[in-house]
Order: sequence, then C-alpha cells, then structure tokens
Amino acid sequence: MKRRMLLLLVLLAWTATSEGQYYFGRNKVQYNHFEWQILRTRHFDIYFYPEMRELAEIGATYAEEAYSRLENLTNYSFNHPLPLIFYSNHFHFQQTNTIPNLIPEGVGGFFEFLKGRVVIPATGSLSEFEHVINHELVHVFTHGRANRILKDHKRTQHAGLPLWFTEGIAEYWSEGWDSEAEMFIRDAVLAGHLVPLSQMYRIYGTFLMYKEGQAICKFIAERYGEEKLLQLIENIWKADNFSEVMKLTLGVDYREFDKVWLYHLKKEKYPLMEENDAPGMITRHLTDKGISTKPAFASYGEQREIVFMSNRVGYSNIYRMPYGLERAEKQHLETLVDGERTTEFEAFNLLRSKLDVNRRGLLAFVSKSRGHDALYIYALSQKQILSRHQFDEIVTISSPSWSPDGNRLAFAATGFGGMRDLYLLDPATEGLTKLTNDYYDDRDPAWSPDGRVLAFSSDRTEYGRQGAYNLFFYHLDSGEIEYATYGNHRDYAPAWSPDGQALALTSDRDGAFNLWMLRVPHQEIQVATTARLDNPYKNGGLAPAPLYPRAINGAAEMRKLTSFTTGAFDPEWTDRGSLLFTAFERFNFQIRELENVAEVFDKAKVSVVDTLHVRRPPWAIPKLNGEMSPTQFSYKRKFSLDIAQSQITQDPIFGAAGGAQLAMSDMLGNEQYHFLVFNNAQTRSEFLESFNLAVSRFDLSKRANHAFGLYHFAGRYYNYAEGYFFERRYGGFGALSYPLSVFERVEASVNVRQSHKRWEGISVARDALLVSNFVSYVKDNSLWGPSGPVDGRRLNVSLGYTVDVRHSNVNFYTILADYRHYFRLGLRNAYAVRLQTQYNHGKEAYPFFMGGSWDLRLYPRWRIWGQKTFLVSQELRFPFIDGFAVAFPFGGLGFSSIRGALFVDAGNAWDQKLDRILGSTGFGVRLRVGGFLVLRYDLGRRFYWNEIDRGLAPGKLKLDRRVYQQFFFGWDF
Amino acid sequence: MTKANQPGAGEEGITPAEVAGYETVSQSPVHGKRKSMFKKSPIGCLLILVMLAGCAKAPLQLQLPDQPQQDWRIAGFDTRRSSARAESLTVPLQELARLKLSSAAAQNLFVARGFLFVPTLDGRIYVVDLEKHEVVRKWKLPQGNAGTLTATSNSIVIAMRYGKHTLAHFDLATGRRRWSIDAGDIASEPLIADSLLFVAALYQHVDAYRLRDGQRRWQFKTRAQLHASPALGEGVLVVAADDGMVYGLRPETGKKIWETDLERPVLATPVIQGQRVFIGTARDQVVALDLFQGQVLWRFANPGRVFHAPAVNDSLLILACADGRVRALAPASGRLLWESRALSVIGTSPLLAGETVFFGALDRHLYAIHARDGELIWRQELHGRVRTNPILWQGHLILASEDRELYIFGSPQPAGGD
Repeated sequence: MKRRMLLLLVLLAWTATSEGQYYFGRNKVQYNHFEWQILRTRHFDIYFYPEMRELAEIGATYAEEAYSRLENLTNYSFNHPLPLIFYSNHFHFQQTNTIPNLIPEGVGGFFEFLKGRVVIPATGSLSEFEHVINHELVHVFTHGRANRILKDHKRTQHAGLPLWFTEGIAEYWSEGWDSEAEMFIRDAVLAGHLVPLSQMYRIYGTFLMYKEGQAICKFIAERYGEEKLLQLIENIWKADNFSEVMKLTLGVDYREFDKVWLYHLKKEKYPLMEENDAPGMITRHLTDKGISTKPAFASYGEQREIVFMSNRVGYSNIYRMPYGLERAEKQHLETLVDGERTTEFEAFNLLRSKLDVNRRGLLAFVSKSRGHDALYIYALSQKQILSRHQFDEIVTISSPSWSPDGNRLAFAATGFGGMRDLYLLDPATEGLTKLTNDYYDDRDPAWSPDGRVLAFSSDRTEYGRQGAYNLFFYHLDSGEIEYATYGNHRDYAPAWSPDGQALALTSDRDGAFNLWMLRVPHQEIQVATTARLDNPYKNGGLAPAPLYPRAINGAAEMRKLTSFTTGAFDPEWTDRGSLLFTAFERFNFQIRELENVAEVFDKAKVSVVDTLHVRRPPWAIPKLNGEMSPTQFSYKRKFSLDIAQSQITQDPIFGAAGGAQLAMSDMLGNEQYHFLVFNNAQTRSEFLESFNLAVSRFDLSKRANHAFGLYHFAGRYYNYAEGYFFERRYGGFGALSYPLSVFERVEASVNVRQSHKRWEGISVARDALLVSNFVSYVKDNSLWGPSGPVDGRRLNVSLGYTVDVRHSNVNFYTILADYRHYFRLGLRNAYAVRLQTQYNHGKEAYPFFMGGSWDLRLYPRWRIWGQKTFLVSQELRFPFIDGFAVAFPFGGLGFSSIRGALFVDAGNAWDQKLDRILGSTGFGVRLRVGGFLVLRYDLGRRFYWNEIDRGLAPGKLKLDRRVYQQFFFGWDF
Repeated sequence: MTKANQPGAGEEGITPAEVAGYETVSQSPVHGKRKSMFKKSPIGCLLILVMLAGCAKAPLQLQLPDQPQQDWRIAGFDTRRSSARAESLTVPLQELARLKLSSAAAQNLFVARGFLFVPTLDGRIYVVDLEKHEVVRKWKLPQGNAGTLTATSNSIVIAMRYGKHTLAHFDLATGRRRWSIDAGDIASEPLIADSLLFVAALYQHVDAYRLRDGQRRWQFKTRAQLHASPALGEGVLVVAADDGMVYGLRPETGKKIWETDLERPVLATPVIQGQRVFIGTARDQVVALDLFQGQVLWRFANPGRVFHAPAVNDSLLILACADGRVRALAPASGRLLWESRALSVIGTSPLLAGETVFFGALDRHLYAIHARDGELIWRQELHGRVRTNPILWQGHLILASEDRELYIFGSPQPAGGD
C-alpha cells in the first residue's frame, strides 16, 4: 500500500506542470553501475553482479538449504522461482530501486511482496548473510502460506498476520534464540519496559517489537508445542482478530497469554540479578545521552581524552572529552567531526567501526563518503583532517588500528566481492597490503604493543558456520595465523593491554556479552605448529594466498571481568589500567569505565580454559553441485505489474470521474512505466474530449535519472483566481535529475503542450502552444524529528521560462526560492526559519496560492493568490506530550512524541504591487499517527501590516482581536 | 434434480432450497438442540423462511444405485486408515473429467453409492455423479465453514471445523437430516464402525456417538489438541494427540487400554496393520507401536516431517514426507526399503493401489511410483498444488488440486479388482 501511494505521488509529481519540480528530499545516488546477472537454481532466480559471483553462489546454497528446511517446516512450497536480489555490501544495497525509499543503515534486507522480491546485502559475515536469507525466506513462506489459506477459505478481506508475529517467527525460525535476543529481553524484563502482547501497538514497528515477537514465538514453541506456530498460521482464516486465532489455537487470547508469559519471564530473569549486575550500577558513567559507542583512549602530549561516536543530537558525530574529569560529558564535551551533513562525512556507523588514536594524537576513523567508505586521519591537537584515504577496490572499512609507532594502520575491509579481510595501510605512501584473502570474516584487528602481532576476531574456526567467532593472532613477520581462543561462541573486539600481557575482549560464552580478559602466553605464540590444517577449499589462486590457522599446543586461560545482565562491548584500555567500554542498558548504548581491571581479574570467580589442540579445519562452504548446479545468464528487463487500481469519484462541483492507474517495472525497479486513464465528463457529449491519459517512463538505473512521457488532460477546473474554466492540455515532457551527492541535486525539465482554455460565463477562450523549461538546485541535509525537521538546512532554487511559441498568448518567467534553516536549541528543541518566494512575471503568468496550515497559518487554505508571493515563517518546536495510550475493549492506540510549536508567519501574494503584509502568530500541536501522517492543530491570531508601499510604519501594524484555529495534516515545514 | 457441471450453475439450488433440505428434519432425536438453534440462530430463521417458501427438493435426495459399490466412505478407505487397495490401475491414466470447484478441496474425498462427495475449504460440499461425471448437488455449510465427512452405505455424517452444530447426520436417499449436535470444533475425519461414530474433536476430547440418534456414548479427554483422526483395528481405537500422546481405547466404552508418549508432535493420522500401529510424527521419527499394549516396537529416524497418514499393507508402510520424499519401510522392522523423491513437499497421503503408489505433491504433479522399488512410473502435471488425497473407485483415480480443479482419471483398460 505504501508503495502504491509513493508511486502515485511520483506519477502526479512528474506529470504536473512546474509545481512538480518544487520539493526537497535526500537522494538515492546510483554511484555504481551494475552488470546484473541471474543465477538460476531449482527454486530461485538470484540476481547479482559479476564481482560478487562467489558470494552469489554461496548465497544460492544457503537459499536452497533454507528452502528445503522451510518447505519441511511449513508444509508449503512455491511453483515459481523466487527472486533473490543480492548486493555484496550495504552501500550497494542502498542504491536498490526495488523500493523507492531511502534505506537506513539498520535495514539488513527486506521482502517486498508485490513482486515477491527478497533483497539482501552481504555484510562480510557469511553466517550473518545466511541468517538474513533465512529470515527473509521465512517471511516468504509464512506470507505465501497465510495468503493461500485465506484465499482457499475466501477470506480475502482479512488483515493477515500481525507484524509482531511475522517478524517474531522470522527471527525464531531463522536463528532460534541467541545471546543478542537474550540481551534485549533480559534488559526489557529487568528494566521494566517489556510491553505485554496485548499492548504491542505501543511499540509497533520498533526493534523491541521484533525481539519481543521472537521471544513470544520461542515461548509458544516451548510451552504449547512447536507445531502451534504453524497452526497459528493455518488457523488464520477462523477469525479476523489474531487474539481470537490465538485463543482457538493455544486456548489463550492476548490477555490470558500475557499472564502466563510475563510470569514466566519474571521467574526466569529475576534470579539473574543475584549473580549479575546492571552495567550502570557498578561501573563509572562517562556518557548518558543518545547512543554513544566505540570509545577510544587518546594519550598524547599532556592530553588524556576519550574520543567516541554518538548520535546525542540526532546526527551522528565524533566527540571528545577529557579523561578523568567529573561531569566531563556535560561541561567539556567537544564535537570533533559533524556527520551526516556533508558529502565527506555522509554517515558514521555507530555500531560497525571502532576509532583509534595513536601516541601523536592522530585519530583514525571511517566515514561513508560518495558511495563507499573513506579512512580519515584527524589531528586532535590541531582539530583538522590531515588526510583522507579511499580506494577503488574497497567498499567498506571498519575498525582501524594504529601500529605502535603510529606509522601504519590495520583495518578490516570488504571489496566488491563482499568478503571482509584484513589490510595494512601506510598513510604516508598510500601503500595498501591485503593480509588475508578468503571467505572468512576477519574483523577487529588490534596491533600488539611490540608491533609483531595483530590480534583479530574471525569465523575461521570449525564453528564458524554456526556464527561463532574466535580470536586469532596474525604474525606480521611470517604471515602465520594461530588460534588465541577456541570454541562455539562469539569472541569480538580484542584490545591489547598497554604492557602487551593481556587481551581484553567481549564474549558471549556464558550466554550474554561480557568483558573477558585473556593472559597472553607469549612463549606459546612462538611455539612451532604441531599440525598445519589443510585448506578446506581452493579459492582460485587469488593473491595473496589464503591463510588458515594452525593448531598450537597450549591453552588460553580467560577470566570474566564483568557479569552484566545485559551486554558490554568494545573494550579499550586506558593508561590507568581501566577499561572503557560500550554498555547496553535500558535499550541504549552508553560508554562506561571499569576500573582496577587487574584487581578484578585476580578476584574473578569465573574462568575458562580454551584448549588449543585444534585438529579440525575451519568450516568449509557448501556449494551447489551436480544436478543442483545453478545456471547463469544475463539479466534482461522484463516488466510486470506493480499496481493496477481503478476508482470512481463523485464531486459536488465537478461531477463523477472514473479512471484507472497502472504501474509496471522490471525486477530491479530500474525502469518504470506509469499509466493513468480517467474520464471526468459530465455529459455524454463531453465524453470524448474529457479523456485524461498519461504515460510516463522513468529510468533510474544510472546516476542521472531521467523520465519522459506524454499526456492529455482535459476537464472543467476551478481556482479562486480564475473561477470555472475548461482546459484541454496535451503534450509531452522530459525531465532529468542528477544527484551531486546524497544531499544535493540539480534538476532540469522541458514540457511542451498544446493548451486550449475556455473561461465559463465570459465566453473567452485562448489557444497556446506552451513550452516550459525549468532548472533547479535542491539541497537537503535536514534531520527529522517526530513531526518534521529539527536540524540542518533545506534549499530549493528553481528558474523557469514558459512561452507560447505559436500565438504568443503566454510568455512568463518563474523564480522559485525556498530556504529553510533549523537551529538546534537543545536535544529536543529547535528554532525553524523559512524564507520563501514564488515569482511569476509575464503574460498569463500562473497564480500561486497561499493560506492554510502549510504556509500562512490561520488564513483560509489557498484563498490568497497572486503571481508573486513571499513568506517568512518562524517556529519554535518543542516536546509537548511524550506519549499516551488509549485502550479500548477491542484494542488500543498509542501516541508518542506529541510536539508543540510557537509560530509567527508573515507573507502575502500580489500581482502588481505589494501593499499589505498578512501575518499570524499562535500555538500549535502536532500529533504523529502511524509513522506517515502528522495531524496539526493551530490556534492564534492574525495581524496585518497595511500600506507598506508607503513605508513600514509601526503604526500600520494591526492585531486582529479574534482567535482563529485550524486543523489539518502535514509535516512541519 | 438440478444438475450442473459449472461452479455457478445450480448455485441458486443450494442456498434456499437445498439448505432447506439440509436442515429440514421433523423427527430429530435431539429436539432440544434443534429447537434452540431455530429459536436463536439467524440461520435457523432463514431455514424456516426457506421452508415456507415451498422448496421441496432436498440436496441429498439422490437416486441411489441398487447395488452398493466398493465405496470410499472413510478417509483412508477403511477404519484402519490403510489407504491401500488390491485394485490396481494401469498407468498412464487418462483424464476422464475435470470439474471446477468454488475453492480448493479439503484433504479428503468420499464416495458413497456411486456419488463423490467433495468438501471445499470455503464451506461447500459438491456431489458428483461418478457415472456421468457431473456435479449433481452442491450446498454451502453454515458460517461458510470448512467441513469433512464420512459415510455409510445410505447416509453421511458431516463434521465441521469451526462453529456450532458441528456434527450432522443425513440420509442419502431422502436427504433428510437425522440429527445434528454441537460436538465442538473438529479438525479430523470421523470414523464409523458398526453403529458408532467416533470423533476426535479439536479441543481435547474423543467422543463416541450412537449413529442412529447422535446420543453420546462416551467421552475420553486428552491433554492436548487433536488434529489426527482416530483409527480402529482389532477392537482397539487408536487416537494420537498433538503433544505426541497416543492412546489405545476400547471402542465400546472409551476406556483407556494403554498410552504411550512419543515426545514429539503428532498431526498425521495413525494407521493400523495387523497388530501394529504406525505413526508418523511432525518432527523426526516414525514409530510402530503394539496395537494391544502400546509398546514401541521400532523407531525410524525420518528426516522429513509427516503431516499425512501413511499407507500400509502387509509388506509396506509408505510415508509421505514434507521433505519431498516418499519412503517405504518394512512394517515388521522399520527398515527403509526405498526412497523416492518428488520436486516438492508431498501434499497428500499415499495411495497404495496394487503394485502402484499414487501421491500428489505441491509441485503440481500427480505421481505414480512402483511399490516394489519406488521407481517413477508416471507423472502428470496438474494446474495447482495437490493437497487432496487421491482415492480409488471402480477404476477411477480421483483427486483435486489447489486451483479448484477436481480430476477424475481412469485406466484405458482397467485391470484387476478387489
């Protein structure tokens, strides 16, 4: 439905006249040109590009395995190939045209049900890739099964499965239960913000809802039987309300289920408090606002600082604050790099890449820039960027680590193939060395203080297929890799102690992510191998040679430093023997400090020994072969229907109109056709001349998007300026949009049309062959709050010229300028300014309309018109009510972030002379409903500034004593 | 008698006149129930109106052949649910007729006195004259409910999955309803033996009713819901519950003889052969139990889930599995004899007809494989997924596909017979 609306809006935008060019918004930039191929397996058509052929084959295997499992699990299958569209990384995925929306960093894949497409990016981790494939295919199977059941039982109006269930079962059937899910549910239960199933509407669409759905599905399987999950789908036809379906299937409705489930969770989680603690209760708080992650300790000269990333103001920025000072976050916090506002720093990923500072005070960090990651070196003392490093063959970069001498950097990166490997960079020479080159996911490199070894985390272990990561040592002199830890768990983010005697890390080996410490047995690193493990597969001789860990004789003793109920990540040593880390608590990530680590280590109650007598090779990647071998062919555009709908409308003035809309596109959404047909004849004689037709074609496959189309519009129209008139327009248009970056674009269009216009009542008509040209510049880096922008800027400048090339009846030029600036006054408050003018000048120039909730508030909507307009708006935006919920006997509604506004508007429209300014001031309330609609209520007074053509005398300013109010919908300007 | 072979044709004969026949009973033994329904239910009122409208023809007022045939009156053919016939068919089969239904057919089809009864998932029942290959009756069940049925030589019992008055008994010759009762939601197939009707109701009870008047004779309660149908052999009624509990009951009294916990969900109907009960579970095992004591005789580790009743004869236990495999085990030992593969989930119970095993799959194919080694003999593509169990009647193989088609196949030269 959302897609339908968007397509409709796009259609209307492109087929309208000059007003169609007038909008803001960020851009989906096609940085790359993909030569799409198709890999056909038994059940899938897999779309990929040649650089990621290996990954596509692996994905094909995972998809076929998932298909067999789900077929068996759901007793269902498909009789057509399922389209799977793979991208080798998230940045390429963000360029997909399968959906029109901009895709945020957090989206790991999606199932688009109109064409049944599954679109998935790789992340560098094959286990994660497999998980997402499984997750999305669960959606495909449950959606297909439920739809079939409803169709068979003739329940076509049914709302379908609820979102908490579809997402919950997708997670549960794809990964069961893992330490991440456990972390979120533990936190929700122990912090008291778990939302009962009967009130799930309060967190509709949130990540917490997904995780709660997963927990509910797990509980149903364990308490009522695993077969009940499938029966919940099979019984969907029995009732319109899923609570009733649960009652029929499990014997309990939502409220009855809550009693059992919540009791179970409390009984299970509360005892954890006896042996574990909440991070915030026993460690030192360093940050408390926004999401703050990836602390790096900086010690250079006399300075000792903490550098970290945070979205505390909405945008993601890099900050620093002095280390060791009380209230440093409140009093000494300094923004180093502003993110998400410029092309250089398009996005910092708060959860993906660490920061590192060397002894000279040089900060290494990663930012997305122009379609792929760039590595920046920033001098903390001078507060400036020293160098920027970006490589054609590298798409994503993460976790740079300085060598002890501060001259080289190690980092993890993925290329076009989608595999994450380790690299070395000499920033001075730009010399880049690839250290590993295989299918395993190598991440979090950490350079040892003696400069000889890189510790890193990798899934190159026999448990890697299950998602396990162990720590390894990479010997820089020999290129040998050795196990540092071993087992079926996840060990991440090694951090060397300053003396090189210990590694701090985060591990989920006891069920939750906690900080652990490994005493490094230096002598054993040098022990010769006892068994060189064979390469489990060949990788085609790519250079350098693939490296596989060797077994060593030894053991790794580890002790648990923290016993948190939730989670701790990204340990970083300070020079005081403490650890900075990111803690998860109360559904948030903050930076904490664990002090006296050596003492904690000595007193640690929990210790484990990883036996490093590893005999089995790392996991091998299964591939389809024999009769299952896929076939490959090139992608050719074939079009299928996206929407087809008809409608009949009845208007008291314009009578009845009936019509239909169609939209078609290819599988990748790169080429789209839109058709519009309707007739608004009021009498039989008008039938033929009142046909409205439009066809347009969009090509989104390249960076420069272009469109063209033909149309014929005719009918009786009305506007306040001209009254009733009949107009018939037919012609064609062409448009081009070129994004300079995510934030900026230029647009151009030409529109040629024959216009016949006949005013009613005065028997005047005119014919014109109109040619309109427009060129626009649009910039938008605004940050949006619940009801509209709260930070950043937006600008739109358009110039146009319209002329009647045959009769010279029409001849005017157009200038449109709209500038909006949002000043952040606090975390939740903003001051917004809008300066806008619209200027048409010439023969039969179109009028512009003003008035109403969208521009000049408290005036009647679109009742002020003229060929020229100006508008100045100022608004103070602030939180009004943070949330309330209404519960009805049949369900409930939840509202959050109700915003307030104090505003002053001034403006007017005129043709020849501006002699009066209209204004309004008042208070407004904004209520966001369902994520896509904002309801607006304004209350206040009007004012007028008369005779301004004689000067802006204060005495001419009049305040209207009456109180006006206005209710409408729409986002804040 | 209205005849139609198109889904739209004859529809008007269903709603007023035929519903009248469905509900018009003058001498029901369950007076209280009927009275109450007519007083409170709008459907009851509607029926009265329809009766007053003067409709005379009853839906099941069928012209019955003089000689009863070898009918397929119960899911699985016999009370043991064996799905096995000595009668064989020569493949390739020819499509004799294809009829359009209003929706996908339910899991099971039934034949009584030469008439095929086809319940559909949108709550209709079609009656097809198998001699003429024509739809002769169809009517809509109350509340658009999906139903199933079982038949005797002169009557049928309709069981519904959801709602009230979920069990009703009709006379085939007169079309009169003999009785109807609220038996609870029923997700399984009823079973008729001698003068008793056995029903495993979804919400945890097994009931025996007197077929003559619908009086309940006994009830046995289970801990979990019941999706599997009861099977009866050698004087033991076997019932399997969703939670994996299998019960052996005395059919006369409902008294429990034994119970065995399989510790894994059971959704497929158990089958009985000789002194053994065979149960395919919805997780990872097929189990054989002693019919009289419930002891586990053998377990077979089955990679596929079993959602459909197996077919069984003296020498073969044929399993239809959701992993797309048909597996044949030795009933005595549980040894895997052969394995055959379809292109997708096996969507039906297998039908063992002579030396041939027929089954349908979600890959839209009807398969015929050799019972000796599982080798594919013949495969016929249909228009939709196959989820309706194939049945055999007088040289006809009958099944339906998900795209609302009912298929009647026949051998070019029928061979053998019971």
